[in-house]
Amino acid sequence: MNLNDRILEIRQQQRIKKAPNNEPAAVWTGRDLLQGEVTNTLTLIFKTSGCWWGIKGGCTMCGFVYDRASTPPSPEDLLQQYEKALERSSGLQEFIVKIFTSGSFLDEKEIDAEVRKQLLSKLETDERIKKVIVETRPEFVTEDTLTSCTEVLKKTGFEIAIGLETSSDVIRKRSINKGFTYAGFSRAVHLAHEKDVTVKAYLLLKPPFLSETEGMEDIIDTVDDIADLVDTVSINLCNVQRGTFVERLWERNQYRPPWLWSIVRILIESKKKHPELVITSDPVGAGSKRGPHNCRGCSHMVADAIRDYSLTQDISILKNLNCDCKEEWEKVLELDGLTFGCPIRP
Amino acid sequence: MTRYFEVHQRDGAARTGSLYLNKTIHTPAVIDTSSLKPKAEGDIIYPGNQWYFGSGKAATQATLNLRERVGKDKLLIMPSCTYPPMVAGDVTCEKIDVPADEGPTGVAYSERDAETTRDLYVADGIACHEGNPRRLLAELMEIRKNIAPDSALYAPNIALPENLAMLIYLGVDILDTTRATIAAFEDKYLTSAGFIHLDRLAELPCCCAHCSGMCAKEVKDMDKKQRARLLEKHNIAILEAEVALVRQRIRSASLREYVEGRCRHAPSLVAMLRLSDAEYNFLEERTALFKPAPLLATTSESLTRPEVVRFARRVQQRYTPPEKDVLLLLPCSARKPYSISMTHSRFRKALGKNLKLVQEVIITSPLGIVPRELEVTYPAAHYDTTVTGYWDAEEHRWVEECLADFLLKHPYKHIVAHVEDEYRSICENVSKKLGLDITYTSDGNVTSPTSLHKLEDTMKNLCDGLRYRGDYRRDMLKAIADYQFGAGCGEALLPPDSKIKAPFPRYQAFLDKEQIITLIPENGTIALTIEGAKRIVGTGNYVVNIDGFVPRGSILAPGVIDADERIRPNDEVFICGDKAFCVGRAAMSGPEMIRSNRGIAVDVRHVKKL
Repeated sequence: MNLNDRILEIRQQQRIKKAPNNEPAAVWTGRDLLQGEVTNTLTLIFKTSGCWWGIKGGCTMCGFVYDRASTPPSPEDLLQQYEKALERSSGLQEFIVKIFTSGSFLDEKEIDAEVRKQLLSKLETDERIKKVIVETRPEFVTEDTLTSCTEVLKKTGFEIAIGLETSSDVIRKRSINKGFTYAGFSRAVHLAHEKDVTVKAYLLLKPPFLSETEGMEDIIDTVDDIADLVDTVSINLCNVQRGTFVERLWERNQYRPPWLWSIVRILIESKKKHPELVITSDPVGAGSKRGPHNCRGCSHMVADAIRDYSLTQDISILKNLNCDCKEEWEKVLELDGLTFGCPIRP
Repeated sequence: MTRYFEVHQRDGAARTGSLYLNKTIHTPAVIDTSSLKPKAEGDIIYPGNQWYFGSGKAATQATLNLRERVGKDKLLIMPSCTYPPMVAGDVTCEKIDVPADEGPTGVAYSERDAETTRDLYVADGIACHEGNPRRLLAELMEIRKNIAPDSALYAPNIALPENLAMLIYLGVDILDTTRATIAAFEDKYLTSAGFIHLDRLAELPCCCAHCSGMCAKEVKDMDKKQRARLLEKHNIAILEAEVALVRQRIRSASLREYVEGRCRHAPSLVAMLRLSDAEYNFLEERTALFKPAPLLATTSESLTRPEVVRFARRVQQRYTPPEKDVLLLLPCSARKPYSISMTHSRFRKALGKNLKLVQEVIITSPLGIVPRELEVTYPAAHYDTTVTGYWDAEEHRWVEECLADFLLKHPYKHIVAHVEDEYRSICENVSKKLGLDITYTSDGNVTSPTSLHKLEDTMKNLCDGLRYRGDYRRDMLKAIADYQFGAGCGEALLPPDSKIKAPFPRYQAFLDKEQIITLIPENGTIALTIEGAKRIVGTGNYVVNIDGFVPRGSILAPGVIDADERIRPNDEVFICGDKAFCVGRAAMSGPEMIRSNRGIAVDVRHVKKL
């Protein structure tokens, strides 16, 4: 049996949440860096027919597939989703719009070319919007899809974000089950750059099966590998999402999310080696059992420091963090690779 | 092929052994987890996970290079995919192509290749089942059944002082310090009865080198690094002390008693004990016919331990009582064998010359019933139990079942019970259940003159006119032979013209002036001469087949071609080969003889060249 079959088995036991098709899956505002300046963001998660890869099984850690619509939304539904989401921007002066679909914005089965064009035109005409970032799998990054976007977005910056997760094909395949290769990613990045589209790579710290050290070193190596290729690196810390393979492991004591100390070390080391590269991390769910965590005493403090760093790119914020549990984490780094299939779970 | 692991002593599924590496590791052992890293230059080396190497090919090459560098006296564990139990063995993993015959090797159990025998198997993922005793037990048994008995089993990331004895009891040979170390960094002070959080510790309940001279406050006041280091040293010292004690209990064949006590600190460990007793075949196969240590029945689980259940089953399946009309049920005595106790001497005196007309059966917990002829066998003459006069419902039920089974199989004209209290209520319950009449001869106290008179008079009455031609000594040897070798063997060994000599209980049997049997009361078994063995070898029971050589002293496992699956350690066995016929004592079970490549299989006592 392969990993995908196991994931599909779990997916089939999970119900898709019922929700109206003309409302977005989620909308929130936040802050991010735009050319070195902290800028407001509006994140919009479209409810579409869903990620084609996730529906067939897909990634071990991904629970976003359950945000998809149970019946494919019509073009009108999608446009209404957009209008509803933009209501949340009323108080904002200048901002970045991040458009996610829990799948690929450039997949025309999720958002067809015409709707895509209409959405982008609306974004282009809103003067407040400085940049649009869309998420996509690399197989949808083609000359055609890119041109169709850049044709519309003339004044507004355009970036594609791809979940590369790791530069290791072995880990991406056998631990994450991502379904594309580094070569596929690299091809997409080059195409984007040819069209003056910037690229953000998402990485995943500590996918299943890897020890704490292996996870950490994989990300440090990956940043080295892609530093000259991409414009921004955003490191996601694996958390336990509902209905996922990772959740099943976690429930059975077979997975532990990463320590926050690991991302602190990654950021310090990688930023030191690549000072010009924007490397960010949003420690989603930090401090909870399902999220990345240290001890109870310091998780929130360390997570805040990681967020501060991400906005300032100032590693000195991370350098003086300390807690008694850091000693334990160092022991975990030493021993977690020697446990043979059962993680150390403090 | 050279094997680097050898089992020396067995106590149930537990064993002591040696892993012959650069330095010999005496198992069961707790190894320092960080010593597995290649740069630590330990004797067991783990090159790293496959994730670390990036591919199976790279991992194979790294392992081969490591072999080149460290030589052939260090054990290399194959780089693993470290798949957790949910997918291990199911989702495929790249094979590491490192030969098993060029130096000692180990492999994760879920990644093993059934064709290749390794010196060590890692019970990968086993620690995930801590807290799920059913699953943990099932996994451990599966591994132990599927790997060669002379392969060492390493259970990583699970050992704590409270569970260590249990894991070894179930067949684990090697454990590590991961849990003890991590506990130290969480301010957990380990004791053999579970951990205590340092915050709650008013004094240090330990005299190890690291704790002595320290007080709890001093430890609490240390900075984190220093404190964790101290706790780690203490935690590992406790683990080391525990494993040394467990090794000792295996050597003295008394691990079961220790585990019965040790497991009380965690409900899941008690569950493991109870669930494992339900896996009778797994444990019984590995349990010696007799042990040098007394069997102490002090817990409710004593009723289900394999030695006890096996005794009851053999009484039911192998034992045939001599043909008599009168059955006398008696209470057990503290002194063993029962017949040399004060109370039993009085009973037997009261029976006088009617003694040989009466079948005596002793009622006891935890053994159920012990026919007089089997009173010197193990564990009938070797157990001790807590006596308070109170029997719990489980004991009642168990003993009643044993007695009822006996009475159903062997009908008697008269049943007399010279018993009181709980024994009496057992007899009454069985009598009611089976609709059998039982005459009670005790009058408040089994040894009071009135009771003994009543017993004497009752028996005189019942035995009047009865005759018995048999000889008690022969009956006893026959019963023990049946018990040991299978029903019918007693009759084959001791025909009516055999002669029995020597005082009770060290009987010897002769046939045509040739000795055939000696009863060894120390362990309650009979030993056979070549002549004796010849009389029953035809049954095929307890036979070990060997190649065409003449054994001297002992037979090693690789010399065994086949062995009766019924053979247990310490069984008297018959060795048949083209060049020799021998009698000896099994050092391992029949299945283990067949599957092992190393270790002594049989200690040979008599050899006859053919």
